[in-house]
Amino acid sequence: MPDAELDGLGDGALMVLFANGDSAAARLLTERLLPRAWRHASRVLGDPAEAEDIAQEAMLRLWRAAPEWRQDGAAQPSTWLHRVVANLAIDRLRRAGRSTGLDPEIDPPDDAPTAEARMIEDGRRSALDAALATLPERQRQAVVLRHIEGLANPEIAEILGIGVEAVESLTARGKRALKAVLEGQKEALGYGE
Amino acid sequence: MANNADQGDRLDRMLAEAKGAEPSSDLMARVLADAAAIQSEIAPTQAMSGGTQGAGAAQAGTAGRRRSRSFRPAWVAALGGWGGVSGVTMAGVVGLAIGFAIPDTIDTLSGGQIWNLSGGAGLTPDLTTLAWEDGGDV
Repeated sequence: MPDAELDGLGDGALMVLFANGDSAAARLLTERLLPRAWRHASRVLGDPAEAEDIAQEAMLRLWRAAPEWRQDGAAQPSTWLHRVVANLAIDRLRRAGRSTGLDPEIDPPDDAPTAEARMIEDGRRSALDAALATLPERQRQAVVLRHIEGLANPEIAEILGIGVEAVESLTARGKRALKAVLEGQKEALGYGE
Repeated sequence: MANNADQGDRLDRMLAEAKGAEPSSDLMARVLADAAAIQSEIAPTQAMSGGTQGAGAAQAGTAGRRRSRSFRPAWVAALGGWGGVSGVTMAGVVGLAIGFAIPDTIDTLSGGQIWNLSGGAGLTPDLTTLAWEDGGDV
């Protein structure tokens, strides 16, 4: 099938083609989904190497799921993939003892000095990662999925296994917490007057 | 209030910048290598040829159906799949039924050729008649 026709297919149809041995479908799915999986993992974990491991593992699980994938099924490959990334990232954080817990309440930015040091050292992206790292797990996941990946609240709710209202609450509180962490960091972030 | 708005703008800009981040080409290559390895396990023939199955395959459903095709004999494929085989079978059954039900009509429609081929002695053509037709000295 010409690439132009493949471009017009949804991810579910590409999964079926992948299971039928279509290497072009594999390439297109990788181009569409890997950046999303990697950004999700990268922002949640704050570690590029770990994020690559998680993204590769999630994509591997996606490939293995392809033979059983139903094009007419309810699940979208991207939603399924984000859910896998979310679970793998949480597992990784908990094993590493870096989890900030599941409590969606806003944690005070006690580690602001650490966050500030990383801002100076690594620039804005690291500053964002550091700020995100201060958020509780689900708040962090919700903020990343809503404000970086641009997903709708119902899809985030499906990924995280929570209600839509809970997602709205998590993202709102998450953004407020990020602002609090980043307060006063204008110059370090290159946003000085 | 203005300060809060500035902070919000800065955060929004940082989040927007994070949207543009892309994975390394090395990671892309590793993921594609994984994909090729998985495809060689679940669809060995197609993966080796690198061929595509087309939109029809995309609408066909699960790979369970794909696997069943791999056990399809070549002669079935030559007839256009199991649908073709059933068509040929049905045509044979209908022809046989017509031959038994209205043999005289069939003989009339054939201009008496079936009766002649049988040597005028039965329904089954006598093959020896065909064999001796052109060379009576053999």
